[in-house]
Amino acid sequence: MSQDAVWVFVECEGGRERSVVHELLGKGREVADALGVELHAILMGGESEEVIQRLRGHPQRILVLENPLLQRAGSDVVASILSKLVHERTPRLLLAGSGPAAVDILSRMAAKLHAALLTEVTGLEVDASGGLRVRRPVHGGRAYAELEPQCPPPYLLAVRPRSFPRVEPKGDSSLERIPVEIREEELQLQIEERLEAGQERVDLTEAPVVVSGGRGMKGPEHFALLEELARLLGGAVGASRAVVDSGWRPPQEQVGKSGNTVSPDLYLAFGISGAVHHIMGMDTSKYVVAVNNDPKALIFQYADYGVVEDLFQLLPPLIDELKRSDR
Amino acid sequence: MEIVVLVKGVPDSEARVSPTADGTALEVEEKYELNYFDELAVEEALRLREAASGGKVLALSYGGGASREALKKAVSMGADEAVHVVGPERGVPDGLVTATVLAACLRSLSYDLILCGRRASDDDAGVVGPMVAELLGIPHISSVVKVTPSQKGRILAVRDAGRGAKERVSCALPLLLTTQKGLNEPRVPTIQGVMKGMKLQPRTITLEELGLPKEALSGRWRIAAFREPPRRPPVRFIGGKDPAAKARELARVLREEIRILS
Ligand SMILES: Cc1cc2nc3c(=O)[nH]c(=O)nc-3n(C[C@H](O)[C@H](O)[C@H](O)COP(=O)(O)OP(=O)(O)OC[C@H]3O[C@@H](n4cnc5c(N)ncnc54)[C@H](O)[C@@H]3O)c2cc1C
Ligand SMILES: Nc1ncnc2c1ncn2[C@@H]1O[C@H](COP(=O)(O)O)[C@@H](O)[C@H]1O
Repeated sequence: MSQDAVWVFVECEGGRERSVVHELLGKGREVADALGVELHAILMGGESEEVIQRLRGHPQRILVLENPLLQRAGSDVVASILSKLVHERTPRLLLAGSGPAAVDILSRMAAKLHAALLTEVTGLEVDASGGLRVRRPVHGGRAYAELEPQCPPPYLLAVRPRSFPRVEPKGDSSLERIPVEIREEELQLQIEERLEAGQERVDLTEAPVVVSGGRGMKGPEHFALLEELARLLGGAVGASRAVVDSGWRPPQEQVGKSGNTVSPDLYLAFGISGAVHHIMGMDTSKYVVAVNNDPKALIFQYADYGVVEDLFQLLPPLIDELKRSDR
Repeated sequence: MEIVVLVKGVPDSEARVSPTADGTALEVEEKYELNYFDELAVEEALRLREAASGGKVLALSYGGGASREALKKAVSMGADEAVHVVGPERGVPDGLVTATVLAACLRSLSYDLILCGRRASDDDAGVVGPMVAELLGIPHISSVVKVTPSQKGRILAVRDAGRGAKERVSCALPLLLTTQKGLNEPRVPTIQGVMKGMKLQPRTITLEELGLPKEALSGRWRIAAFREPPRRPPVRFIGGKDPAAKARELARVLREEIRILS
């Protein structure tokens, strides 16, 4: 039964699983049920027991890899450990969240196992005969490709956050702790120092709402308005490249071709013109609301709702309105 | 230091991209540019060469006409050599095939450092760099925003670790790095550089010369269909006699139509 299972890779950041993990467990359960196989979650030991508690009930089994060196291991070492396990246990499908760390690991695994890998996956279906069909955007979302594997499993998929809904756990999970071997000399990369961002930030790619500002914000001091709005809406602040290049906001907030790709439920664009490079990073958002004082701004061609207004006139009353409904 | 930069030619951002009516293929306007992150990689290689006052920068690309454009740009910026592994205009949708070809070619070249982009803007995959490193059996550091060579054949790099966090990492050469925005500002080629690029005759290598078995070149995925992205309905403008009225209406839309606060 554990052969042919669907695996979900539980990636943790700062002692917590990424929120995409819960989306993967939901989709993973659906796919595993359709294939008539088990769902297993796989995580690196050393993470807190609370993570394990939150996973319980989703997968039939939770596999915990244990070795104190794992916390310091680079993607090369993690990939070789996971590849060995995949080789032994032959899962059919491995799902992870698209993101730099997981993509590094999966890429190395694919090369090691000669396995089929796709990243930035936004759709996954299983047909009656167990065949997979995977959907992903190409060319910055200007088209979508639907692909089918033409080789034996395992299939490795890195799924874009917010592609699948979170589901509530049902049932129970067994726990299996697997000691793994790592030799100190295998750790080629040495992490000398980790510089944290300061406060705990919502990951832009995982935020349900993104409130972005462009050059129309006029200066860094005005982003306090967007921060307040983002707080009220439970979202994160994003920015155009013009804003990042001017040093008003840090690079990790940039949305677009040379920055992050986001697909929140709601993307709000304030004072952003809508250059194609920007659109490439947000066009898959569910709803787009654009605020711009130029009725001809390109951004309106990519928006569901538009407000032609000076953003400095609109933001204060909007924030007041939302505060009122926030009671 | 000998540096190889992996460069890919990609359709530029304005190029028209659309699935054919039957969805079996993708029509892409042939307007190519050097992939944004690869431009950062070329720039960083040149800076490392200049700082060490010596060494060599070789640009390597696999593909058709787009590869020639990418190599031209790299040479016009200042790369010393260009190697073109001649492949189909449109590759298969499997990064592992590309990585296998590039790694096979790299085995016949000498290098201390390999630089490549974090991802290519056409397939948005972000897989080729770490795959090449794995196939060559060397370590890699991804999303680097700062690179400093240190003594004793080591590289010190600062990498973007996500959520605004950064990591200082060191590693012995040979090593592969992938570039992230913020690493540098790529130079604009000089007139002489542009001339050099135009006259470029890259060294070409065929797949037969690399001696790769046929299986290595067939992709693991089959395109079942290309689709148009879902179209949004035309924009609905939110009106009102003054900003306060518009704000009220927008708040209502957020609550009742987009259902963001419910
Ligand atoms: C290779 C490459 C990669 C790129 N990558 C990216 C990327 O990743 N992300 C990105 O964003 N860009 C990217 N760009 C840049 C992109 O082409 C645009 O230059 C950039 O997006 C413009 O930013 P903006 O909309 O903030 O500024 P602008 O284009 O200057 O637009 C400002 C807007 O604000 C409006 N405005 C001004 N005042 C007000 C006001 N008081 N109230 C309301 N509205 C107001 C104006 O009408 C205007 O529409 C890239 C470019 C290249 C060449
Ligand atoms: N055909 C290619 N030729 C040379 N380098 C490539 C090629 N494809 C990808 N690369 C390199 O790998 C990086 C990541 O590409 P990708 O995995 O396709 O997103 C690119 O930024 C390039 O540096």
